[in-house]
Amino acid sequence: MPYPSTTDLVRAAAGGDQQAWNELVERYKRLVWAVVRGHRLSPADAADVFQTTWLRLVEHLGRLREPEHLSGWLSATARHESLRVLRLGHRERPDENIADDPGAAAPGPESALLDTEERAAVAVAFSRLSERCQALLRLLVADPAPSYSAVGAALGVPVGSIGPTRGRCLRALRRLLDEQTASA
Amino acid sequence: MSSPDDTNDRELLEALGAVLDEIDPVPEFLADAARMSLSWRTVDAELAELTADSALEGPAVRSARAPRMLTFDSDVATVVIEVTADVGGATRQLLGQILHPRPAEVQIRHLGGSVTVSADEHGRFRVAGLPPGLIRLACRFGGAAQPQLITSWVTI
Repeated sequence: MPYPSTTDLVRAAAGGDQQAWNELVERYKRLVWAVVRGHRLSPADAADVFQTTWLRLVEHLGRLREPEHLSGWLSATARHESLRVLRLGHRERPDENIADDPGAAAPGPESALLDTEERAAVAVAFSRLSERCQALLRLLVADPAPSYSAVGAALGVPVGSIGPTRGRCLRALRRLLDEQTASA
Repeated sequence: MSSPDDTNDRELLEALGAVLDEIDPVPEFLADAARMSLSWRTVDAELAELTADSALEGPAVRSARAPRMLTFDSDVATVVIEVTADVGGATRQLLGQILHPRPAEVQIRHLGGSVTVSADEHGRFRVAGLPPGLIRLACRFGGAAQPQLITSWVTI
C-alpha cells in the first residue's frame, strides 16, 4: 500500500474512515504531546488538553483550509488550549535559560528504564534546562519532526528565532552534560 | 552544509529523542481516547465556536462568586450558558439561552453520555448534575431529526 499523504488521510477521516483517522493519530500524537508537555501542565490538565485538541480536529476535519499543514494546525490548537488551561488556573510560567527548580520539569532518572548512564545523564541535564528550551527541544525531537512553522505555532514565537534558540538550548544542554561529567 | 557541529547537534537531539520516548511517552489511554474521538464527528450541523469565556477575563472584571459565562456563535444562532457548581460542588449546572429565541431540544453531550432538555419559547433551558469535564451542546429546532447547531467542546 502506498504511503498516504496527510491530505488524503484528512479527507478520508472527514468521511468517517476510522483507519485513516487512526493513522493521523499515530503520525501526530507525539507532536501534540510534545506541545502539551512543553507547557508544564498538571497530568490531569495535560490529558484534557491532549484530548481537546483531537476533538477540535474532529470538529474541523471538513473545514481545514490547508490539510497538508496539519502539523501547524495541531501545534497552534494544542498551544491555544494549553494557554487557556494555564489562564484558568492562573499559573505563572518562569522564563530563563536554566530552571530554578532542577528536576521538577521532567521525571527523574529513577522513574525511567535506563539502558546506560549516558541516557540517565541526558535525562537529568534535560530536566535542568529552562522551560523554554525543554519545550523547544521536545518539539524538535518529535517524530516525524515538525516544520519550523509548526514549531513557531506551537511556541508562539517567530520562525526566524527558532534556529538561534535551538543552538542556544543545545549549547546549554551540552554545558549541563559537561558539568555533570566533571562533577561525577 | 553539514559541519561537525551540525552532526554533533543531530546526534545529541537523537539521543534526547530516545530518552524522552522512554521517560515521557504519549500515555496509551490518551492515544486510545484520541482514536475514539472520531466517533464524535457530526455532519450537517453548523458549528458554534466558543467566542467568549468569562473565566479568561482579567481578575479586575471577574468576581470569584460570579458564574462562568460561555458564549458560542454561529450563523444559525448564538448560545450563551452560565456554568455553576451544583450543591456539593461535584457536578455542574448549566443555565442557557439560545438567541434568537425559539423552542429547541438541547442535547448536552459529555464523554460519558448525554442529557436532553427542552428550551422554552424564550430559548431558555436548564440542566443540573453534569459531570465536570468536556461537554458540547447539540440543538434541534422545530422538530428536526438531526441537530442543526452544535457547539465546540469546552471543559466545565
